[in-house]
Amino acid sequence: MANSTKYWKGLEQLNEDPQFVEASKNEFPEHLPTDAFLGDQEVLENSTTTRRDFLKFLGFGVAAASLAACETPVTKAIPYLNKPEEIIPGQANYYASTFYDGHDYCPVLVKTREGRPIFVKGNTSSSLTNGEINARVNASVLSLYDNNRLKSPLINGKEASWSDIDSALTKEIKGAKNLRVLSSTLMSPSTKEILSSLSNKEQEIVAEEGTVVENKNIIVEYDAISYSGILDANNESFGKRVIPTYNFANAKTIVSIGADFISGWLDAMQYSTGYTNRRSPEGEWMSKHYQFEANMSLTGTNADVRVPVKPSEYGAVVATIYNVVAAKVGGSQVKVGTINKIVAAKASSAAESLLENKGASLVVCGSNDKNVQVLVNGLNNMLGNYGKTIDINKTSHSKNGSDIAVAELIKEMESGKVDVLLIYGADPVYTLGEKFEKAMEKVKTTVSFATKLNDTAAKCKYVCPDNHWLESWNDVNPVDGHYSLAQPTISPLFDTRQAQESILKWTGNQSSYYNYLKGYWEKTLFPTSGSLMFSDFWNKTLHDGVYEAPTSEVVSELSFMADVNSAAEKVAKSTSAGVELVLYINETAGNGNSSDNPILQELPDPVTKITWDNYVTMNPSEMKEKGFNTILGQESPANLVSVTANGTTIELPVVAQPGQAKGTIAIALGYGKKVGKMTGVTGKNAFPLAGYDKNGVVSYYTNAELNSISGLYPIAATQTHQTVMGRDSVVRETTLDVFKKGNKNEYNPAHTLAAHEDGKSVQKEIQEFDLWNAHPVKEIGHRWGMSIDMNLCTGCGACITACNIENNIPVVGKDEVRRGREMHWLRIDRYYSSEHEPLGAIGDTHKNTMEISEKGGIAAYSEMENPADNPRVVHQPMMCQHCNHAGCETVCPVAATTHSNEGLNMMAYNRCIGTRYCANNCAYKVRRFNWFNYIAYKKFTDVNPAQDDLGRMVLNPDVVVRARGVMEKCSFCVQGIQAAKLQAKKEGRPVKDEEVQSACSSACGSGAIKFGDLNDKNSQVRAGMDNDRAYRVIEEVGQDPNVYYQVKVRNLKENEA
Amino acid sequence: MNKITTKGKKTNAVKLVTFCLSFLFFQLNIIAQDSAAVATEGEVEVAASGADLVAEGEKLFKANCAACHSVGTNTVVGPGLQGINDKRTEEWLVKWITNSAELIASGDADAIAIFEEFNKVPMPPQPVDEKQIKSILAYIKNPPVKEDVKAGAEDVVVEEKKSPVTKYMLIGVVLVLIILVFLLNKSRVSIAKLVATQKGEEFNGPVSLVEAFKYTCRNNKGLVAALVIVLFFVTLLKLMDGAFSVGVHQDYMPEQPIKFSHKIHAGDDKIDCNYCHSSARHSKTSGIPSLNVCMNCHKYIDGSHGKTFMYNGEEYSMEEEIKKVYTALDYDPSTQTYGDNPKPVKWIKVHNLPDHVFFSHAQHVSVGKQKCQTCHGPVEEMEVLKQQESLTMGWCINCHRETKVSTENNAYYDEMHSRMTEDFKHQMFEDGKITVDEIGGLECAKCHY
Repeated sequence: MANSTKYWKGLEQLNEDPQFVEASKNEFPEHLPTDAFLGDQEVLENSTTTRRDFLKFLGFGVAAASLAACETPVTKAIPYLNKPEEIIPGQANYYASTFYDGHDYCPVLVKTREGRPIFVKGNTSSSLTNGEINARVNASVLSLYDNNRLKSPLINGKEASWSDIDSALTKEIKGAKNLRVLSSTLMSPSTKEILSSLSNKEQEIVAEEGTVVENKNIIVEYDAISYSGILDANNESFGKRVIPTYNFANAKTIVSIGADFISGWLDAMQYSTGYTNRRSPEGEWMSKHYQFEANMSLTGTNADVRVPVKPSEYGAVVATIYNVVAAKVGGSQVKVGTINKIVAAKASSAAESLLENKGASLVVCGSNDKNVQVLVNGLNNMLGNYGKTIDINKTSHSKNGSDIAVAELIKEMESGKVDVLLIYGADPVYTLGEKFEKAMEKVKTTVSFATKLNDTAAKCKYVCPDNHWLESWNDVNPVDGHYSLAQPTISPLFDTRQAQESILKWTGNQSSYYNYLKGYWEKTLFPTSGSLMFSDFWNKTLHDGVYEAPTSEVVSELSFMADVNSAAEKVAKSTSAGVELVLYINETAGNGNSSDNPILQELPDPVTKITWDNYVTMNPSEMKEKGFNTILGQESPANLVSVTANGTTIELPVVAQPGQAKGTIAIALGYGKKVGKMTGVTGKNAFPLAGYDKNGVVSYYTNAELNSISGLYPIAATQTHQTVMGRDSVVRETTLDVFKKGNKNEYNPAHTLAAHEDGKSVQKEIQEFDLWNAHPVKEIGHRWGMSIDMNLCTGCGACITACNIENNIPVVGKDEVRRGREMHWLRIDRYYSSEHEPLGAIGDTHKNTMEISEKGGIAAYSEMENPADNPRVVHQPMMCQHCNHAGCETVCPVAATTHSNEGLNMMAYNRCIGTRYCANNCAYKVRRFNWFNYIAYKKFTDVNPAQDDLGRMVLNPDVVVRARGVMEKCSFCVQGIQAAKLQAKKEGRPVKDEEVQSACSSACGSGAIKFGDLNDKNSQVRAGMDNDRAYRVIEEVGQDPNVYYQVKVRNLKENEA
Repeated sequence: MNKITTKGKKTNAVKLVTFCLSFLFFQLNIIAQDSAAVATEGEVEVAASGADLVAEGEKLFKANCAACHSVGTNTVVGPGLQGINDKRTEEWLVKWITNSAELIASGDADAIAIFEEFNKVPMPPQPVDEKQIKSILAYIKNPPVKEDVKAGAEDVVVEEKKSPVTKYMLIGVVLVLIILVFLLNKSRVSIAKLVATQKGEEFNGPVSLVEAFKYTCRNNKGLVAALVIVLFFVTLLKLMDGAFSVGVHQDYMPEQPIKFSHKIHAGDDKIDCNYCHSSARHSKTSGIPSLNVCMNCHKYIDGSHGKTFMYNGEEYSMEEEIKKVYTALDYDPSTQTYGDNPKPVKWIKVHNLPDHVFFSHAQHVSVGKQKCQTCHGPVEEMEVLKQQESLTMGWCINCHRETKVSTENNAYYDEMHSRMTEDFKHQMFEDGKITVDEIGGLECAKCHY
C-alpha cells in the first residue's frame, strides 16, 4: 500500500494533547488513591493513636482473626424437597424464549442455574436473527433482579392487593363509555386478541342498534421512536400500511441515507445479520455500502463510503440518486432541493453503483418524512429491488404505530371524551412530554402495566405491574409467517401479574394466560403445522423457541402507485435554519426502556466511547470556531451548551464527533427519565426537542438554536484509555482491490527484524526471535485461541455486556470510569483513521518510528487536511491476547499469573498481591486492577448490581467475585472451557468445534469473534489463523499471542475515498 | 501454656506459681476421656425352634408381601399386618392369601369389608403354600428388631462425657502441688536458717518464693536464657502451625438436623453413594439428595417397627427420624398424601471449599473413576459424617502428582495423544505413567477462575 494511514483513538491523540500524552505514558491514569483511605492530613496528624496503640490494635486484630478462624463457620445446605427432573445442581439449563419490549425483538436462549436465569444469548434456530443479540437484550437479565421493580400493584400510588384492583377495574372497564388502550406496537397475536375483547359502550350501543358500526379502533399503537413516515409512504405507494422485510444479504450495493440499520433502525438485529453475511472479502461477493448521514452512527462507521450530509439535504440526496437512475432506466426527473456539490458527486457515484447492481441493491432512509420515503420507494421500485431485496408481501410487524392516531387520541383525551385509558408497554409521558401528561389529567381512569415505576406509571391511578419478560408467557409474530414463544424461566419474584392475565380477568375470562395462549395456538397455528398432536407441536415450538409457518405462496403483484413528483416537490422545500439537530438512538439506552440498566450505562457508546451520559455531538472544527473544548480528559471537562428546539431548551455538554456533518448537532434519545433509578444521574431527556407537524407526525431532524452557556461538565469517556503507544501494526486495513490481487505482502506483510548473519545484515521474520523458551502449546493438546474478523465486527458492543454478565465484572460508575478504572475485560477500540503521506511500508516499524520522531509528532501529521472532518473508523475488540511469551507472566513476583499448557494466560486472584507490574508490562493494556470493594463499598451502591441480595442473583456461580486489590483480565471464559472439556471426557469424545464458546463469541451474531482450539485442524479459529488476512496485534514485540485478527478490507478501489 | 504470656498486675507469687504450673501442663498428657463400650441388647425372644421358621418367613415376606404390606400398623398399599395372627384365624388367612377373590365371592363378611375399605383394590393371589404362610405369620408375629440394634451394639463405641470426678481430681492435684511448693520453700528457708545459725552466720538468703525464684534465675542465667529461647521457638512453631490450620476443618463433624446415619445406609444397606448423590456423576457438586429420593425407600420403610439406632453416641428412634422427612415434605403416611406446607431441611454442610475453588465431582467420579472414599474416607462406617481429609490445596496437589490418569477407552484422550510431539510424549511416559500433573493438573486455571 503506497499510503500509510494514521490511526487515532480520539482528537486527544490526533492533536497530541499534552494531558493525553502524559496519560498515555502511565499504565494507570492516577497514583494510588491513598488519600481516599487515609483521610485528610489534618485528621491524621491530630489523631491520638500512638504507635503503641496501633500495635495493640494490630495484635488484637490478629488474635481475633485467628480465634474467629478456629470456629468452623456453619454453612447450611438446603436441597430441593422435590427436585425437578431436569435440574442437576451445578449444571446450567437452557430454555428458548423471546425478548420483545416494543423496541427490540430477539429470540433468545436463557441460561438458568438452579432455576435462576443468569445469561441470555441469541437463538440460532431463528432464521430471522440467526443468533444475533444486542447489548440491550443481553443486559436485560439484570432488570429481572432489580430492586426498583414494582413489588405489588398500586392504587393512587399506594400499595394495594390484586383483589382490590380486580374488583375496581372490572367495574370501571364494564362501565367505560369510551375506553382506549395505548400500547407499544403489539407483535403478540394472542395479546392482540385479548385486547380486542375489550370494548366500550359506544361500540356496544352502535352494534345493538344494528347501524353501520364505525370501526373505531380502541387500541392505539404507538412507537416511542416513530416510523409513521415509512408506514404511510408504503400505504401511499402500495396501498398497504406496512413495513416490508429487507434482505440485506442479497444487496450488492447498499445506500443508506440516515438509516442506522445496524443499530437502531427498525429490525436492526435482523438487518445486521444479513449485512455482515456479505461483508467478508472472501465470500462470493462483498457488498458495497454507502452511508449519507449527519451524525456518525454505528452503521456509518461500518460503511465503505461515508458522506456527512445535513438532514435537510437527505431528500435532495435521494432525489439526486433518483434522477441519475431515472436517466439510465428511462424515468422522469424529479425536483432536487439544495445540495452541497461534493455530496451530489458522491450521490451520483452511489447511484452508479446502484445501477450496476439493479435488482440486487437496496436504498434505505431513516427519515420519518413520508415524502422522502415515497421517493425512496420510487427509487427502489425503479431499481427493481422489490421482490429481490425488499419484500412488501412479507411484512415486518415490529413497528405499527401511527403518529396521527396518537395525536387524535391526545385530542380526544383533552376533550374529556376518553374515560378509561390502559397504557401497555409505552411510557408516553416520557416520550410525548407535557402535552400527554396534561391530557392524561382529563382521563378519569388511567391504568399502567409498567414493571417499574416510570414517568407515565407515576401519574396513573392504577398500576398493575406486569411480570418481567423472563417471568412471562408470550408469543410474538415479528414477520409474516414467523412466530416465537416466550416462556417463563423463573417464578414471579414479586406480587406481579402478567398484563394479559389481568385483562382476561377484568373481562370476565377466568382462564390463565398460559391456557389462553395454548388455546390460541391450537386454534390458529396448529392447523398450519402438519403435526398430528397439538402437544407435540406445542412442545417442539416451546423447545425451539421459534416456529416458521409454511408460506402459502400468494404473491399479489403490488404496483407502485405513489406520485413521486409531488413528493419530490414537497421534499425540495425543506429548509435549513440555524443549526440542524438530529435526535438518534444509540446502542446503550435504546428508546429509554433500558436506560436504568447500569451495565448498559457503563457500556461505552460504540462511536463516541462515552459512558453514563448523553451529550451534544458536534464537528470538532466548528467547536474550535466557537471556542469549545474538543479534548476530553479527566481534567478537561466538556463545555455546556443549551439547545433550543420546538420551544424546549435543554442543557447538555458538547463533545467533538469527528465526521459529524458541519452545521449539525446530534443528541441521543433514551436518557433522562424523571422517575426511576437513574433519575438525575444519566443525561437529559431529548424527546421534547423533536418536531411535530400539524398532523402530529414527529420529526427527529429539526432546526435548533445552540448557545454557549457557562459551566463545565465532566464526561466519562473511555476512548483514550488504554492507549497502545505509537505502533503501526495494531490496525491493518486495505481495500478490496488490493486484497483481490492476492499479494499478501502488500496488505499483510510479515514483521521482520534485522539480524546479523555471516557478517551481513539480513531481515528475519519475527517468529525466529525468542527471548524465552516457548510454552509448548503449538500442535500439542489444546491451544485455545480466538480469531477476530475486523470486517465482520460492527462494533455493537454486545460482546462487552455478555462478558460483563458472564464474568461478574463490577460496574464502577461514572466517576471511576472518568479516572480510567472501568473494569471491562473486553473493550472495543474504535480507531479513526485518515490518510496521510507515506511514511514507509507497514511492518517496518523501525523506519516509521524514526521518521515520525525526526519530523516531530505534530509536523508528521500536519499534511493531513483536517482529518477529523470525515475519518474512517475501525472497530477492534481487544481483550487479553493470552500470549505464549507473555510479558505479564515474567514480571509477577508471586507467580499469580502463569501460562497453562493449553495456551491460556491464567490468573490466580488469591495469589495476587496487587503489585500491578503485569499491567505495566502488558503490551495490550488489557489488565484491570480491582481498586475497590465494589460489592460492599457505599460509593458503588447505586451502580453495582451485586450490592443487594436480589441483584446478586444474577452473578455467575461459576466465576469468582474478585476482591479488592487484585489484577483481573479476560480468562477466555475458562469456566466454559473446563465445562466443555469435562462434557467431552464424560462422553469419551474429542471436544467439538464451536462447543466451547466464550461469552463474547456467543454474543457475536455476525460471527466476527470465533473461539476454539487452534490445534484442532478443522476448527473455525484455525481457519481464521491460517487465513491470509490473519495477523496478530503488535506482533513485532514478540509476545506470540493466541488471538488472531483479520485485516479489515473496505470495498473500495485503491484510490477511492 | 498461654498463661506464660499473660501479663497483668498479679503479685509476683502468682507469677511464679503460674510459671511452674505451665511447665507442669507441658508434661501432662491429659487424657480425660474414659472410654467405655456400652452394649445394648435387643429384646429378641424367639423360641429356638421357631427361629428358623421366622427367618424363612422373613425371606418370604420380603420377597412377596413387603411391596404392599408392612409388619407394623401403617398402611402401605394394603394394611399393616401387626397383630394379624390375633385378628384372623390361620385358616381364613390361608384362604385370603391364596385367593382373596374367591373368599370375597364366597360372601365372607370380613373379606368384603376389607375389600371395600381399600377401594376395591383386590389382593392378588400369592404363590405360597400353607407351610410358607405359616412361616410368614410366624415372622409377622415376631417382627425382628435385631439387625439394626445389633449393628449398634457391635460397633458403636460410645464416648462418655468427661467425668466431673476426673476434673476435680486434677484440680486437687494442682492444689496439692502448689501447697507442696510453698511447704518445700518454707522448709528450705528454715533449714537454711538453721544451717546459718549453726554456722553462726546471719541468714540473708531469699526468704519468699519470689526471692528464691529471682535468686535462682540470677545464679543460672545460662539456663534461663536457654529456656527463654526454647519457649520462643516453641511458641513460634505453634503459631505457624495455627496459621496454617486457619480455615482447615479436618475432622469437622457437625450433628445434622435429621440424624442420618451413613453407616446404616451406605454401610449396612450397601446403597451406592451415587444412588442418593446422583449429581456427582454429572456436575461439579455431588448434590445433597432431595427428599423425594429419600421417599423412594422411606415410603415403605417408616420405622414403625420401633427400632433404634446409634448416632453420635446417642440412641435415636428410627421412626422419629424418618418422621422428620415426612414432616418436611408434609407427607401423611396414613393416607399417603402430600400436603402443601413443606418445610425444607437445613442440613449442615460438612465439606466446605472456599469460594474461589471450583472442584468438580464429575471430573473425579465419572472421568477420573475415583472412589468417593478417596477423599471422603470410610463414609460407610460413619454414623455422623465427618471431614476425613484436610481438603487443603497441598492435599489436592499431592494426589494430582501421584495419581495415574486412566486414559483408556476415551476418545478424548486418544485425540489429545495424537496431538503430541515425540519429545513431549517421551517426557511424559518417562516413568511409564501419565500423572494428573503431567496433563496440566497443577495449573491454576484448572480450579481457580
